[in-house]
Amino acid sequence: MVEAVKVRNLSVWYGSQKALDSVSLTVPEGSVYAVLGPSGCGKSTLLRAINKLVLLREGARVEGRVEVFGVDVYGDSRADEALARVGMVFQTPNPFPHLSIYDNVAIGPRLRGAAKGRELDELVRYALEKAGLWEEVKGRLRKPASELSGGQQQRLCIARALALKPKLLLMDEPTANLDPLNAAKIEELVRELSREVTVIIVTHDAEQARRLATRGAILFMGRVVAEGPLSRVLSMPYGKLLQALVAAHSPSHTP
Amino acid sequence: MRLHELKRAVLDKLFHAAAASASAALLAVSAHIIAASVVEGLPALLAAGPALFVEPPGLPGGELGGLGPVLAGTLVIVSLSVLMSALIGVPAGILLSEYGGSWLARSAGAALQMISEIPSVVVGLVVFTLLVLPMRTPSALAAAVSLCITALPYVAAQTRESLAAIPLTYREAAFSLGLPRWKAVLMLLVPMNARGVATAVLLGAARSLGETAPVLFTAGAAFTAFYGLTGPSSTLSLLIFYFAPSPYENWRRLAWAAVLLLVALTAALSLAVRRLSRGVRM
Repeated sequence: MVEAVKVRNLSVWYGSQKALDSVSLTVPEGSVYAVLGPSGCGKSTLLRAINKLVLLREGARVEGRVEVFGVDVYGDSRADEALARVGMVFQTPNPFPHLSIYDNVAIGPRLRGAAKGRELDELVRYALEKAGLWEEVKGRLRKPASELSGGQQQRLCIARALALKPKLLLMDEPTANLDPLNAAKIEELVRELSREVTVIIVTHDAEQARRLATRGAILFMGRVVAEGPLSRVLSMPYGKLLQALVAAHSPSHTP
Repeated sequence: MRLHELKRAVLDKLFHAAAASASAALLAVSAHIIAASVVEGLPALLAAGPALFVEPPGLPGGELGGLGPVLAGTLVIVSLSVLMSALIGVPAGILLSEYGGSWLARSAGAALQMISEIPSVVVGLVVFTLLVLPMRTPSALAAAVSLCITALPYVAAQTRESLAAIPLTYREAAFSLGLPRWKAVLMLLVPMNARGVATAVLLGAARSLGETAPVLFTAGAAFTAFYGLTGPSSTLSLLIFYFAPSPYENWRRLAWAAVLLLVALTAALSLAVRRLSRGVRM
């Protein structure tokens, strides 16, 4: 089994507040991995620790090891290279407000020097088709991205990530701000993408996790309380889960 | 109990009255400034006609003349100052906002802070010793340098603030594209904030236009002709400084015409700044 992401003893602090506490988990390549847990349990922080976005936050400090395709992203000199194969989709659709629909998708490969001219046009079309948006926007690629609806904007953000030809896609509650119809569209997309791309999806919806993922983890107060094949994680007996929650919350783990 | 309520109501009214009169005083001051510059400046402006923009000032006590060389000097000095303060201040603002933790940014921040706190007359004196003495003449160049130094902290601070105001979610999106940090900043965050940068540059222009103290020692006071970049020169504010208190009627009228021009230009710039900064929405 090849590992897309391997996290070992990862702790993250925001100032003096501990957001993640010795998290360890393994995401095999070619799977959809769900990270579950209540709000504020550290799901988003975990995702941002994988691609180092967590360092943008004030006072953030990271300890432990994160490997992406075998590269230690906090120590290895090849970290940027490895992270160049990682795309991300956020909870709130956030297309760049100053760019057109086309440029939102093209900007990544263009700035990386990965494609230009006809080749870039092809890549943009490929990404928009993959994201299921091409038919809706092909006639107005030069229009500002802000003209699109929320669901369309989120699919545009997925296209922006796909234009990077990622091997790993991080999704932070991508359907949280969408209506059920658009949410279903995104889920369908994730299922399709998972044939080629490893996906880590953060969600607080166990049903969504069950529909999409094969493996996963439950986080509570910054700690992993269950990890492994999703069927096992989600069918964990109530008593055992409770024990794990109590253990995560026990005084020995709180400063 | 009734007494307590009465006391509260009276205090409330008093506070309202105080706040209202303070704002009325502010309005009165700005209204007076605008009214005075129009009442005194407009007749002079009309009397001079189009010649105002071409002719040199008349001889003391003689004809009115115009502000031609002074306007040329102002244009050259302020443009050069804006150019220089943008070239240094915008990158400095980017450095302060995006690389705030580095020692370079910290020392740049401290330096800008210090410059902004130094009285501008001192800046003028420093440039006098650094440029005017070695060149043996005051010049448009020296004036532009000293104005640039006074405008720099404003340009840098405005650039920094506007970049820092970019919501985290766009910042994260920019940094999630696997780009080197400098590329994400220069090619995504700065263009996203183009209006903020433009606002910063305009703010610097408004600063340069209005400051008088830095050009006192550096521009010279060449009101009658424009001698190029390295020759003595003058600005509108400098002309006001010399002409307004003079005993000559025609010079005082010219000073008022200059006041009107300066107020109009500054108002136009500040209006543009407001327009631009209001347009920034994400």
